[in-house]
Amino acid sequence: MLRREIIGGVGAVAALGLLNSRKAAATGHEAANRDVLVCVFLRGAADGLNILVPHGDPYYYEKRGAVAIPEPGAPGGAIDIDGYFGLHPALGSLYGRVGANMAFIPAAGNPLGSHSHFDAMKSMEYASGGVSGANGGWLGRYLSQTTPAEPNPTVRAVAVNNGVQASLNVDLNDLSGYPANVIAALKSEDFQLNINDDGQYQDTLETLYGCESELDENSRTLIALLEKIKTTQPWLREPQNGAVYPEGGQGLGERMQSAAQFINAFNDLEVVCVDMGGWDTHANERNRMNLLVAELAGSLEAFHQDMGSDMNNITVLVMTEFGRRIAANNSAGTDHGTGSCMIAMGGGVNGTVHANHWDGGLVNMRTHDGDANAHHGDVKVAVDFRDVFAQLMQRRLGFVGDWNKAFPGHGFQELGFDLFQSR
Amino acid sequence: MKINRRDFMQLAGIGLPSIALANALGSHAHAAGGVPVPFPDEINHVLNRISFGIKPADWSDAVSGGIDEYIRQQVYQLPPQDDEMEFQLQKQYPEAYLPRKAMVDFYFAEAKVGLPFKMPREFKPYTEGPEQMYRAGMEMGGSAVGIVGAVPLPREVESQSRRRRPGKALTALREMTCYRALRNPHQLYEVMVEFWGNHFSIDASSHPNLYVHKLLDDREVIRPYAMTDFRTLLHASARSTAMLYYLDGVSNVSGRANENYARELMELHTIGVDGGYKHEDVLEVARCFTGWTIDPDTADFTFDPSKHDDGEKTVLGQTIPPGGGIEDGNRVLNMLISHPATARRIATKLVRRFVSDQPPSSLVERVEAAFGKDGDVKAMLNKILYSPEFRQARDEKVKRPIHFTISALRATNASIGTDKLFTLTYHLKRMGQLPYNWPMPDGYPDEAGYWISTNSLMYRWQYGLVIGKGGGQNIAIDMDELIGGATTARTLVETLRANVLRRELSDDDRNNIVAYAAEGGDPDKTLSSNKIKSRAYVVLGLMLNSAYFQRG
Repeated sequence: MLRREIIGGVGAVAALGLLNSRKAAATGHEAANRDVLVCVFLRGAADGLNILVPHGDPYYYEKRGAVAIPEPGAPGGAIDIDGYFGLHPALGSLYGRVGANMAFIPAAGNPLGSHSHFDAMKSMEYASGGVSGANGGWLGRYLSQTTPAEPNPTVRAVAVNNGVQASLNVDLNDLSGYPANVIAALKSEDFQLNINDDGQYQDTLETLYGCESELDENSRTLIALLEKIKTTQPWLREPQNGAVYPEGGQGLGERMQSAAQFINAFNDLEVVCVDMGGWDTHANERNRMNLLVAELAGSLEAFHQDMGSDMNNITVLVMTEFGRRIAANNSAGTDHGTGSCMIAMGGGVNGTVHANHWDGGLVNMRTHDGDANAHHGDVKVAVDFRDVFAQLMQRRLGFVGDWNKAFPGHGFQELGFDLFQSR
Repeated sequence: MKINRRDFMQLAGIGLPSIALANALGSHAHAAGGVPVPFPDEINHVLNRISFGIKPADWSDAVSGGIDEYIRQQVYQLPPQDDEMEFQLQKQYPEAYLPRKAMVDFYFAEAKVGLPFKMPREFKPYTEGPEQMYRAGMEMGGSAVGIVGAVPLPREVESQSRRRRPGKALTALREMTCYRALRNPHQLYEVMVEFWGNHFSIDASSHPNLYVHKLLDDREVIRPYAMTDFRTLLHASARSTAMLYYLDGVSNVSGRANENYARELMELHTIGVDGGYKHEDVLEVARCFTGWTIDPDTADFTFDPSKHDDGEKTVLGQTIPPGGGIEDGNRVLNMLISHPATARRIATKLVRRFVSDQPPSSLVERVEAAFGKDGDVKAMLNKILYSPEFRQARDEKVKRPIHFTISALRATNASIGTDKLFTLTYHLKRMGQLPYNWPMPDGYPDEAGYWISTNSLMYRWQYGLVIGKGGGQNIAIDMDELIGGATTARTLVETLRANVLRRELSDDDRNNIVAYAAEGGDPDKTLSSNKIKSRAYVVLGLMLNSAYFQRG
């Protein structure tokens, strides 16, 4: 009844998968050859216009004033890419990757149009057309519709977070698919019980949890995870290739390093979700974004270096719940808007600025534009985040399931440009 | 993922009588085999929910005077502060008791310049380093926009940065919060302080001004009014210097108003995202609060008429005539307090906190009625705590980390010095509930689905083990008292169960714990007192880490 049997037999699968599914993954293995997906969610609504800067657009400077990133060449100015768009200067270390394996998509995001952080985050993580979590999250649904990459996995997805992000929730109304095997873990080195009694304590603790609730379920999952971590020891991996992760700040550096360790140690791992907070820049935006963007850039760059040639089989996707208003407010900040930019990085990414949908300048890209003092005006969503997810799933993750289940009420729709190469 | 035990059991296909029947039987199914797990009795259930854990003294009071009388004292009778407790805290953190302006000056006196995070040496931005950009940005501040005058930060504070001294204020506040939750006999009051502090959530780690001003918010907004009424709380919160910094009211001036506070005031503090406001209402409410700011000379709230937009506004269909000055904001607050969606929302949150993650609508309606004109906190609590829905909702919640952390100390009658409270904040941070550290303005979640991830559980189990093993040098537990003369593995388990868990174990669970305590040997064999003691620590850790103690 104890640990060894749980780990040794199908008990591990049952323990981890009880909530998620009943289907055994032993047969029909599709020899899936797919990327590991790393989702980075910028919480608080990152200002796409100050990340991918339309420095060639007078309307941007007219509306933004001193909140704008100065033109290329000026102190703290944007780093020009194509004469119209440029990068926030703190993204400078990644400049060389645009044109290689890093892509920026302006005017992308969430067509829900909500200005509420919480509704917008929910709808993006659920990707089911609204703010109801009844169908779970898009990654939970992806996993349950997809044969595990490795047979009998114990961990298919890691939330490098205290709790599991909503995107990884499974659809509780449809448990017919594969187990999602989701865990939350910030630091692998903390996953041990500091007691030396040959597993007796752990075994007894396990018996004290049943299988009647999420608490019980997570306890059993944790016991199985302790065993897996004991043998794989992800924390032993030092950053490779001279990579150095930023420390402190919003904690993205530590989390990306943890992501790298889990990817390296768990060969059954398919999806990693990482969050970075602090992007709600209603005031003092330039200063705050200098720090946030530097941390984002430093973390992405370190991760890329650390993973080395493994980046050929990894896709990093950066998203945020919505963008910010075109015009600045009187607090040297920007209020809640609509479209932002998305960023993709990895061996399968066509690295460039994908902006064919950017229709003749920022003034034409406005939405929510009714207000007399022009303190309205958001960037519209010309690229639906679900279509970015869909091309990623189709071309990099080998998704062959039901698109109407993947994105309820939306299904598969062509993105309209080649963000990702097919594997 | 929101799923309660009932739903889960149905999903998992576990054959089980209805919850009502299970209640009548006094137990519910546990393992797949359906071994019954006894529910806690009413005293255990009620005490747990209205406190940060059951101390032996609470238990004997409730048993001797009756639970209804115990509740009455907690709601209506006890004074909010405990003098001896505050005396100990003031000795440890004298600055936290200074008058407002003196306190602000003290904590900012030695602020040092520096980046708030460390970049690797090898990091080479394309143009300037982050430090240069940060400094250049700070110097630019808002001056290029011409609004620095509207941001009443002392200039020397704004141009200094950022790390050292102000942070001590936040450390003090977090430790004081833990100590009060642990020691205050008026436990329900501390629960409500936590509730309102979370309702009017401020991420105090997000800016040095907040390191200091959140302490003032706790002292002058949340604690004084936690048991009074929502009207007073909301008006005080709108004038809270911490809230003004956090949601940018401080720089909200006429012209292009800052919408941050206006939106969260409606979405989070009052009527809720479905409360019927439109984007235009956010803009108009933001205009109403222009000029609500901070006077740098007093470090306190002031209304600056020169920064106020005195034009006509329309909020939720009501016209606010021009020339209202500070009354514009007051009118909006009162309008929102009277809005039925506010009473519904506060009632729902209270019922979720005290009763169930799925608040029963029958009770929510009654609590909503008790909200009354002003949001009477005691009337609402009274309605909840004597309701059958509350009394029956046993084991329906999982303790959040702050509750678990403090309750382990209260249940073991442990003590901790005011100089050792970092032990608690260290563990709370790992479990994900460091006070005043939730990164968004909606406050820490109050549903088990968020709190029982593998990550959070891992740190709970480590903490339970630390307490069980005596808490290092920092936590004092009188193990002899808890053991109470037990001489065998079986009596040890029984004594600890009675003194710490204060609820029944299932036969299977008891047998497993007894077997563990006996290390596989004869559970009725007399053991040496050293042996009993060494087993007591780990058995205690096992009990604290079990579902019997994680639920609450």
